[in-house]
Amino acid sequence: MRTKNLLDQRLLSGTYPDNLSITIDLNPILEECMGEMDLLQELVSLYHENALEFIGAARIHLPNSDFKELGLAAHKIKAGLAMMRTDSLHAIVVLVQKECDGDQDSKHLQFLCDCFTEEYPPVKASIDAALANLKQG
Amino acid sequence: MEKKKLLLAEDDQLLASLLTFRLQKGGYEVQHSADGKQVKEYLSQNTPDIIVSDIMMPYFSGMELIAYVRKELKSQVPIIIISSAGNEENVLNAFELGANDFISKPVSPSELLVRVARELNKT
Repeated sequence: MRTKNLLDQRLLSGTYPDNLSITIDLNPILEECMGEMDLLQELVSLYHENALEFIGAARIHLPNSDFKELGLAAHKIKAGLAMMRTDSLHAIVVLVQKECDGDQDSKHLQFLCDCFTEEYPPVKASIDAALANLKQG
Repeated sequence: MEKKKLLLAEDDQLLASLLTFRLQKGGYEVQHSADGKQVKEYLSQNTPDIIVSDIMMPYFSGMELIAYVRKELKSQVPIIIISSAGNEENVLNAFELGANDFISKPVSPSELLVRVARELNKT
């Protein structure tokens, strides 16, 4: 939990946005899907695929210092994270892209990617729970 | 009535799935292309009534797409670009290249439908 603690320190110091949350409400997305549960389920599956793809991209591109590709991977996932209102992961990815476009500090990027990897499982659990609740009606 | 053809150029499959669904429900025939290669291939054989494109795409950016449509194809098909917040410079460049409108991420499908209809009504 080293990275999580570091993230908490950054949050307390005001370096990161303070509105991070892993409470997931899929109702607004279901409304956008016009009540189509199959589509919502497909979006959730794509969301999980994208998150895993980003974690994989970070593992490939960071050791190679390929900041352009890492930045593109961050950009690609960003809209989906925002769409699903997963603020914590979205905030991390925004910082990854900013760092890739700016200072390209490998240590900071490693820290951010580690944060993403640690933060994703509880977010996934929340999304899956929210989806299961919606399915039960 | 024949459906209007809409080319959606978006590399984020998640967003593209939702937008495609809503645009199809809105009565459009949607062709989704996930990267610039697919976009060029589609445009070489088809003439959409409107294009909705992300700015950042693999192989062929939204900017290059606008330039390609306006300068090489010499087409005035309406182009709406999708841009991330904080990308104002790119948006201005897109307008200079010939984009008709832009919408910021996260994209509201309902808002996009309104903007698409508005652009098509102008033509």
